Amino acid sequence: MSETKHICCKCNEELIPQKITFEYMGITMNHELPCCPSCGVLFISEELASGKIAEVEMQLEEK
Amino acid sequence: MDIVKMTDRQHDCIAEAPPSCECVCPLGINVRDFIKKFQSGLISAAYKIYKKFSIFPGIACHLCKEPCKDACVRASIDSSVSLIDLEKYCWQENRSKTQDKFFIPVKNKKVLIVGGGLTGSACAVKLAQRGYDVELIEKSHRLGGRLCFIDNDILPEKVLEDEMNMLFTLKHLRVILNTCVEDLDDYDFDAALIATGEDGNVFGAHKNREDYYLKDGVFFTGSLANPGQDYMYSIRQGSEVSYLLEDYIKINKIGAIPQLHPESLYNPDIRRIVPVEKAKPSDPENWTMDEIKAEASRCLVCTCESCKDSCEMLTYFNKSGKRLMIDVSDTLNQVILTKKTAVLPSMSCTMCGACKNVCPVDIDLKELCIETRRVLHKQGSLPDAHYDFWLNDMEHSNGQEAELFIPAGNQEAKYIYFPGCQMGASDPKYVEKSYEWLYDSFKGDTALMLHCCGAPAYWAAREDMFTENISEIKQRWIENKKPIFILSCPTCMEMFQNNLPEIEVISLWKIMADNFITRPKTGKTVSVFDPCTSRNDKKTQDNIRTLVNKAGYEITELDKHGEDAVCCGYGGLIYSTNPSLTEAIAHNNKSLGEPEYITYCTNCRDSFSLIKKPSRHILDLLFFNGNRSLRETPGLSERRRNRSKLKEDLLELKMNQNFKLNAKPYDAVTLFLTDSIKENLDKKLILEENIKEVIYHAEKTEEKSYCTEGEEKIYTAYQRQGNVTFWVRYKEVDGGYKILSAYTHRIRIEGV
Repeated sequence: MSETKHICCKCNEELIPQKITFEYMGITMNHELPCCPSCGVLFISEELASGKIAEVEMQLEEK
Repeated sequence: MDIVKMTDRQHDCIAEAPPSCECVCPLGINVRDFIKKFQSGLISAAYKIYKKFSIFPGIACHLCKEPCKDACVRASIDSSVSLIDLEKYCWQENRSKTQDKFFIPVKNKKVLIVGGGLTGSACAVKLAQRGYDVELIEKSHRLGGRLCFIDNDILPEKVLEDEMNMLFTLKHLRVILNTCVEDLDDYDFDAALIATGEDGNVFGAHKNREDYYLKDGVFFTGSLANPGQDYMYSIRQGSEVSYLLEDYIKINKIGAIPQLHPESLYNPDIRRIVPVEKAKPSDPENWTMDEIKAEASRCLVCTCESCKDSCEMLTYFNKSGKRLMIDVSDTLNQVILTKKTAVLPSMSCTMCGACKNVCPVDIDLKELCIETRRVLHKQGSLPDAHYDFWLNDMEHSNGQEAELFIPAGNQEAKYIYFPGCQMGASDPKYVEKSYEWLYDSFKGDTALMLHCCGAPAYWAAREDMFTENISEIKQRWIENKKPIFILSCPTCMEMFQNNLPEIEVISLWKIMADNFITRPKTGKTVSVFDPCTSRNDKKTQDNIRTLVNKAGYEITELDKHGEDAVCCGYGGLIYSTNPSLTEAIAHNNKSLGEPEYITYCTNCRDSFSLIKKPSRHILDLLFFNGNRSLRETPGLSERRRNRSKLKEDLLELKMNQNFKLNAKPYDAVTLFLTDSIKENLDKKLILEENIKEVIYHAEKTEEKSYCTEGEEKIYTAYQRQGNVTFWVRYKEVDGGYKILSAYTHRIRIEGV
């Protein structure tokens, strides 16, 4: 997770870690990510997308 | 063929079938197991295998006529592997060693064997080893039958004596010599075997009968059944008939001796086999361990892996074709609940069809993979997101931005030129120049259709989209009174021939080869890289070579050409699923030959250009001057612009019309991208259009976040487009947005 502060442009609030629900290949899972407490805008870093998320995607595709 | 029939073909696969040497071995020795033990230096383990099949290893290694010699694959390359020397060596090394003894439960069933020749003795040994109470009666004073009359030079007396004496040591076997059986009724038995030899008492049996059964549990075999047969067959018959007797005792079944293995269908590519000189022992009668291991190491342990040898995908996953069929069956029937092992391999198949070409029993793994994708798609378990980019690309080719039909100059078109969707994307000039040439050659009888043949939908298992695409082409054909289609792309040719058989097609290369004027020789040599889809189209391959020669070039053939053509890595849309495999394929192809490659598939040319292998499309030779060998492949966004540019140019040139792209809301978003970012986007299959849409949405709705780097704000925005979520990090700059990075994921964000 990124250490940098991320601010929601719409609500001007800092994105704070919250449990986010994801779905892929019919399977639902949760992960804590920076998220605007008001509007729900998220931040996913490139590192997370091309690392852990890509790994999980590949696993789920073969589940 | 449905998927069940396809996976059932695993039973026809000869990967585990006996090699050719084993097929002709009268003893049916499991040569692969035997040789593997030898190659590992496990000589006593090899001896156990040999003894199991030969029963009398000393006799066998002296009398075997070595039919395996002629069957050996090496026979036509260097010289056959000398199995007989290996057999002799392991026998010599182990003959005097005490063999392991195992506890065998006593069966309490009596077997009578009349005749102590090779067959009777072999059968007696086998049954006694399995715990039957065996009585072997021989009328002469010694065991061995016909063997007793063999010259000592061929079969030393000592060898025969030692091996036959072994029978006297077996726990459940009682040998009675000097006794002639007159009447079987005098003996008590559960099953009996008459193996009295060619001139022995037949007890009413008809010679040359095939079923080996007489009556009341009495079987007969050996020379009695097949006079004068080879000694090795006598041993095998003794072994096989022991199972017949056992079956009769256990379940009252009267079976038949199984036939030897059928002829081997294994047909390896001998060009790939490196010749190795036969080991030369310092003393041919006494090989040393190193000498014999060297000879054993020459054995190729023949296992048919022709499909794997020809397929980058199977090699990548280290799977045999048979394993793939089993995996598909397991995946679709959900046998293994934890992992669908066939998903990734089937999505990594380049659809090149090399597997079927080399398979001795015509198993088509390409069709298996495409059908697997279709079934998975219907089940909802195909990761369709991988195909989003390609299907969008197909929609682009067939949409307002690129699709075009230009009627023939004359009222009725005799031909429709269909260059496919990638030629114009690679370079609009390819289409413009070849169309112009055709138009002039056929005096205006040629119409032009810019459209996709549907291959992406076919490969992505989207039957609905594919059928719709095919219908659109067919509709155009009917509207124009069924003209002949001129095709240039080998993939289009395959799609038309397989799915639109009613449409008459002709290759652009045939027309050009017939009509192009020969130019002066350039003195340069090139290699033709045949695309995989041309593999079975020898005429097109020949036409291309004619054209290359007419353009003034000499040809050096690549190792893999013609019917051995390989895929460039584009086929089957494998890049999105398996980029590392695509890269490996391209790099392997790069090293096929030194000279510049000439291709006639734009995807092949562009794939080589990406890895900096000098290559030209055949049209580069025919219509362009200057060095286009290292012409850079346009990026993905550039390819789309090229298609639109082509449409614009042709509309203006041929129809005097101005082309106006339908406006999109995000058109006004201006991007600033460095070359390295562009390259990175292409690798991730991200278009500038995707990025513009994300930014447009973010700027309009304010649904974005920012962080600060110094004084600057770095924005991050995301948007789901189809089955993929696109993320963009950017800065606001004068007149637009500077892109810092973009990335994607397939997983769907549901929310908090």
